[in-house]
This record gives sequence, C-alpha cells and structure tokens, in this order.
Amino acid sequence: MDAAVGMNQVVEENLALLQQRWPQLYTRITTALFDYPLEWITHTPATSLAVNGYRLWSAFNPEAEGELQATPVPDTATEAWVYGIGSGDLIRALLRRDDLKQLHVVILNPGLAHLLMHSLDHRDWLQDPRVELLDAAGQTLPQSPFAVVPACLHLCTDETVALRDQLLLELNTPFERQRQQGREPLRQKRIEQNRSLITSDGDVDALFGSAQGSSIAVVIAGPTLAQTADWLQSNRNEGPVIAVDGALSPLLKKNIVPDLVVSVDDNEEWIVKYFSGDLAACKNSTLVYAPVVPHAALLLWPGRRLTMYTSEARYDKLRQQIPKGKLFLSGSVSHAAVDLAVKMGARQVRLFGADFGFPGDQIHANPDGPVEFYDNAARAGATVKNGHGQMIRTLPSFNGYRLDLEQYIAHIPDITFINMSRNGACIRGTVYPDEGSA
Amino acid sequence: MILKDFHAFINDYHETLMGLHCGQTARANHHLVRLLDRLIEFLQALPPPQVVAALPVIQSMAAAKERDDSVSLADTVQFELPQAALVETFGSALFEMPTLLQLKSIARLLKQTNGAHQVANELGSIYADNPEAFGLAFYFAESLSRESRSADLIHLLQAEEKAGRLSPASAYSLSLLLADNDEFEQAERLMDWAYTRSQKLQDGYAQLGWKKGHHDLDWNSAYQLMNKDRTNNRISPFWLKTMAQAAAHASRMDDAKALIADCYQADGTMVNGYTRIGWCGYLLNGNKNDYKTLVGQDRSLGRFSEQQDAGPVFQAAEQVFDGEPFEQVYAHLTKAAASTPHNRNWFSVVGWLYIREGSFLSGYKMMLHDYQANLMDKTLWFPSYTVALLLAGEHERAKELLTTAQTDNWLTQRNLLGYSTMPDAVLTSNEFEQLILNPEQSPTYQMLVEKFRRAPH
Repeated sequence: MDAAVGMNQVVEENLALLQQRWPQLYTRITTALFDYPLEWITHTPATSLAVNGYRLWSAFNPEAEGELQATPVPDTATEAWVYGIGSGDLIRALLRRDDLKQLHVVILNPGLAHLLMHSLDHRDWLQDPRVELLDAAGQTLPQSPFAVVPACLHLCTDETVALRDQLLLELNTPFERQRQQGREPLRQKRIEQNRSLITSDGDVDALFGSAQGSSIAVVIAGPTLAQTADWLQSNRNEGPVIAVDGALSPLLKKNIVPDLVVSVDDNEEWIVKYFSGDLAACKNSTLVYAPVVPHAALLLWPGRRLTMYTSEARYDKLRQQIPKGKLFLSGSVSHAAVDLAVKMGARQVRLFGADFGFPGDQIHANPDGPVEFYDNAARAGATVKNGHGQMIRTLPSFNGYRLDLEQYIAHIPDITFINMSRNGACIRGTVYPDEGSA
Repeated sequence: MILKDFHAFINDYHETLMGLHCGQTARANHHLVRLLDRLIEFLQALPPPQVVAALPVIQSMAAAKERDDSVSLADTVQFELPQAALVETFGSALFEMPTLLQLKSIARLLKQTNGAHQVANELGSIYADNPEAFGLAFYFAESLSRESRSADLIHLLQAEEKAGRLSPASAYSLSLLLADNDEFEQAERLMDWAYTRSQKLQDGYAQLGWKKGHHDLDWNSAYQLMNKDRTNNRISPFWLKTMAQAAAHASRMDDAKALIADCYQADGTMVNGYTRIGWCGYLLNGNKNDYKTLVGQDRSLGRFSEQQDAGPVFQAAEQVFDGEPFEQVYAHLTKAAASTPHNRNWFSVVGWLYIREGSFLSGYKMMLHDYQANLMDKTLWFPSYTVALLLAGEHERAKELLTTAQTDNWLTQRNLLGYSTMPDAVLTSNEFEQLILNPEQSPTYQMLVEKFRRAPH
C-alpha cells in the first residue's frame, strides 16, 4: 500500500472499483452480513487475519504463499479461475504471468469479501482488465484450471457448499488417483488369479430388469446401519435386499440374509475377513463381484457368483474376451450396489448405512472393517453436514464418493432414493422416511 | 533416524506444505501423518533440552490441525518447525519456499537421460544465486533412493561436496551410501564431518559399523566403530541392540549383555535383546544352552515377545533345540505367519537352523515353504536354498535353480550361506557355482557336510 494513502482511502477505492466494474456484485457484497469472530495476528513477520479460527493468509510470507497456491494452474494457461480472495496474493501471482489473458475470481462468501475490501489493499488486481469477478451462488461445478484460497473454502456460505465440495473433490482427485494407480499391478494379478472363475461364473447382466417396479434395499456398512437394521428386519419382504460386502456380517448377525452381495474391492486384508464367517445362510444368495476381488474371498462364497465390470480401462481387454454386464463405480462399492438396484428395475431405493461419514464418531458397522484405518484418517478434520444440519466427521474421500453418488442420482429422476437415517451425511437427491414420500 | 527416513521426511515435509497451500487436503493429510511420525522419531533421538524447545511447535501444529486451520498449520510447518528442530541438520534453504519451487521445477530433469548431471548443473546455478544455501541435493534423495539410483544420488551429493555446500544431513546420507558401495574410508571421513557440524545426528557410526561388519566380517573392528556412537551418547536404543549383536559376533558376550541392559533401560518397549545375542552366540559356537539361557533371561524380564522382532522364529529355534518334532515346529511357524502377512524368510532361517543341526531334509522342507510362498528374499536366501537342495540330495533341482541366478539377478560377488556371519560362509559367484555344479570338488561342500554333520542332532 502506498504509504501516502491512508487505509480509509484504500477502502473507498476498493469499493469504488467494485461498484464501477461489477455494480450488482457491489450491492451483494456490501449488503452481506458477516459476523464471524475476527482476530488480527500481528506478532509475526507479516500481519494476518484469522476469521472464525481460520487464518486467511500466511503470517510469514503471503506473497510466496500465493505463488505456491498458484501452482495447480499450468504456467501456460491463458484463462484461469480462482476461488476465494484471501490476501489477494494468489490472484497477483497468477496476474504476474504474461500468458494469462483472463482470470475469473469467484467469491465464495460475499460477507467475507466485504470484510476483505475493508481490510486490505486490493486495488491493483481489482482494476486489472483481465480480472472478472464472479459470485459463486448458483454455481455447482468448478471451472478449470483453477486454484483456491484454502481458508475461503472453510468460510463459504451455505449456498456455495455444493460448489465447495466439488472443488475439494477436484483438488483431491489427482492424489487419490495416484494412490489408486499404485495398486494397479496388484489388481492385474487378481484378475489373472480369478480368470477361471470369471469364465465359469455368471453375468451380472442376468439380474438387470429382474425386479421391475420394486422397492430395493441397498445396505452399506456405515454406522447407522446398527440403528436402521431393525426396520429392515421388520420389513424384509418389501423387496430385494442388496448388501455391500462390509455390511454382510452385521446383517447376518441380525438374521437378515441379503439376496445379493456386492464386492468390488481388492484389499485382501479386510475383504477376505468379510467372507470368513459362517455363510451357510447365504447359499441361496448371489455374490456380484468385480474381477479384482481377492480370490480367497470368492472361494468362500457358498452361493451363485456373477461377475460385473466397471467402465475402468483395466477391464477393456477382459470385457472383449469374456463379455459381462457393467455397473457404475466411482471409488465406493456403494455406487455399484445402488446402480445394481437401479438396473434391476427398482422404482424406489432405500439406503441403509449410507453415511459417508462418522455419525456419533462411530466408524463402521462391521468390526472386521478397516476401523483403525478410518479412525486415523478421520482425525484429518474433514466434515460434512448430516440430515439434522449438524457437522459430522468424515474423510475427503467419503465426500468424493457422496458427491459422485449425488451426481449419479441427479441423472435418475424417476426413482425415489430414501436415505433411512438423518445421522449420516446428507445426500442430495435423496429424501428421508419422515419426509412423506417414503 | 536412518537414511531412508531422512529422505522420506523431506519428501513428506514438502508434500504436506504443497497440499496445505493448494487446498489438497487428502495429499496434505496423508503426508502430514507420516511427517509427524518421523518428526517424533527424530525428536526422540535429540537431547532433552532440544526436545523441550521443539515441543511448543508440535503443540501449535496439533492445535492448528485440530481447528483444521490449514494456513496456520502451513506457517508452523514451514517457518517455525525448521528453526526449532531441523535447520542445524538440514540447512535452512531446503525449507524456503522460493527454493522449494525452484527445486520442484528441476526435479523433472531426473527423468531424463543423464538427469542427475543436469540437476547437478542446475543446483550449481541455484547455489551461485544463493551464497548462504547448502544441502539442497537432499531434496532429490527420496525419489532417487526409491528408484534405487544410488549412483545418481552419490553424484549429486559429491557435486555438492565439491562445491562446499554439503549439509550435515547430506554428508550423513552420502557417508552411508558410500559405505553401501564399500568405500568405508571416505564414508567415515564424511560421517566425522557431519557429526562435527550437527550435534543432532546420531546412529551414524553405528550404521557404518554394522555395514562394515557385514562386509569385512571383522566384527571386532565393526564393534569399535559402533562404539563411537555409544561413548558419545549418540546412539538410539534400536542401535544399542544392534551393536550388542555386533559385540556378540565379535565374541564379546559380556559387552553384548551390557549393551542390552542399557538398551532396555533406555527403552521400555524393546524386546528380544538377550535372545538376539544368544542367537548370535549360537551362530558363533553352536552353544544351544547359552541361547536358551538368554531367551530365559528375556522371559524373566518380561521382554520376550512371541509376536514382535522375529519372535516366532526364536520360539521355533527353541523348539528345534528341545528336539520337538518337525511337524510341530512347522505348525507353529505356519500359525504365526498366518497372523503376520508381511513375514519374510522366517521358514528360511529355521530351515537353515535344521541344516546347521545336520537335518538336511528338514531344512530343505522348511525353506521350501518360503520359496513356494514367494516369501524368500532372493539375494539373501536363494544361495542358501540352493545349497539346501544340494544337501538334501536334490542336486538336479539345485542346478536348475542356479540357471535362474543370472536372469533373476540373485547371485552376487559375495554370497552368504545361511544366517552365518563368519568368513567361511561367504562365497564368490564362481565358488558358489563350483559348489553347486561340482560339489565333490568344492572345499565348501566338504566343509558344510563335515561341519554340520558333526553337529549334535
């Protein structure tokens, strides 16, 4: 900031530039309420501001922080999106790039933007003709390439939560994908181990259309299954029950034998355990499995087995050699189970234990599941809103799975999806039993 | 903290910061957890006053994480943590953001042909612009180490040494790498240099000594070298325990026992210390009673673990010495292995024990388990397994296995038979081939048969 110019004048000029270039946004920003607790941090090399406990920019070197935040945008990009304002250093870092012709700055919280206009000098980037300031309200999908001011994601408004979640999903996807790629050799090995079973077992396609117009229960292994299983027990005859593998033993303990069990995971450590109990009751049930499921687990199944593929490229060759039906999968077995219900012809799908989080800090319905792994990961701080509007702990990956399920549901308007518990994550596109439509 | 962890530590440090700054929570969380684990390990090895100085920073990180305040966390990790605990060892340039970005941008050169030389040149330019910087080659250590490119890593570190820009951590790593390449004199020189400049380094001579012991099989010299860390109080409990084994290999059983006593006093979680030196003693002189006495000592102290630190193998050894039937020993190991998915070489060790005791067929049958289950480390145990086949009368199969040595790369210039650490059990590849192809003309074969057949059954 020019030493000769007082802060009051800077604020006036910030606001004047806003009004002049984006009059509608100016009104929205200057009328927005923002009553989070603020704390200026002044004992550090750079002055910073914490809002509701979140430091907005580095208290040591915000300029260098901006450079680092800008790294997800390729150096050669001519157009980019920035979500959140913060100190403005991320925006400046991108504007310093000669190749950049247009920069869309998306405001996730107008009240916070108002506060920032009153706190810092933003005149340089506000008057840069390449900058286009946008309101995130109503936007649900991120534009690429983009970079974010991480603290602003925490401070988004309720109406921009959907966009925020999608941003987090996009931000975390490369890392998750890289992690998954590390497992690819193991998966190829599994496919080879299972080849003879894949050849001799049936095709999931045989189930498609087999339960037209029915109400199908899809049982996932979230903690709320313990609370909702009684309903399922009492209403067992309502329609077919599809369980994911992790939910199998909790159901059997309640004497609920699922008609179908879906298994897609390659993790030997806990998948084999899921099938290690007494499965005699399942001799008339069907296992639908992906070719990467541990061989030992498949051999433990007492009933009929049907193979399924997903759209993942690893199955392309196998698909040609041994054609089988395909189910939707985007990281979670719950996707395949729901898609199976839809492809069977359900008119209504009831979701049990579909928590995508840790309600009441409970981790998993199945003690044989990856309880310790999730418990450790859950300390990472990710949260999600439950059906009561309260925040519960979750994992970034669970949020990703939920968002992918929400997108899937959005494309199936004719089917009613009922989330049987409000205690788990709120899933857009579903209704609760107490909302009437169930 | 050992070499591998140093590399991984720096990698986790940078990945955590990138994740935090860019809002990539999964990446940040994944690496932060590992960073904290390694940091705690690093701090545990420091003298108490330095740990006390670092504690507020760790608490500050924990508090920021609890609030999910990623910017505070990044600030603490980036600006406060290095000053509190890391700069002396690693140098400060490695923790500065502009340098970090420069290093990231040149890291991709490593993928190219002659990449290490290009990176060394680029590092030279960065050093020219930053007269105060040192220790930057360490940034590339993780990926080079992961890809087993030790020659490239040595090249980078030596270029840094030539430019007078080594950090104590770089010198420490380079020293260990040189030892892996049998250049012990150079390795010791660099370790001296690193230790003089960073009081926080420890276990360096212990590691050099252990490597030297395995290389020269001169365990007395190895013990003397390791003892440098002990006399200067720069050794962790883990390395005290390892040093005790070197002492036992050197027939210094009293020293070995004293080291285990120190190790137990320093760390209440250490187990199987007396058992291990008893095992070394058995390897040296075949004294089963001493072994059993020392196992008993661990048991009476509540320090014998059936699960940790090769506990099932030590138990199996006791069973063999007590004359329990083969089936019982095999069943015990099988059960223990089932609950330890990452066990490796267990059956091989016990198999060689049988061979050592003159039961060649039982030895072969035991080792066959690891071989068939793909749980046998090739360079470490394939030579012994081939010999086990030979001794068990499976000469043709031994010759057949030898034909895979070149393609599977398991025969080296120094092949150790069994778990022995004595010079007469090390064979060159030529000697090994002679042993397998023409056993009757091999002095080693005569020695093995005579020595082991002589052993009490």
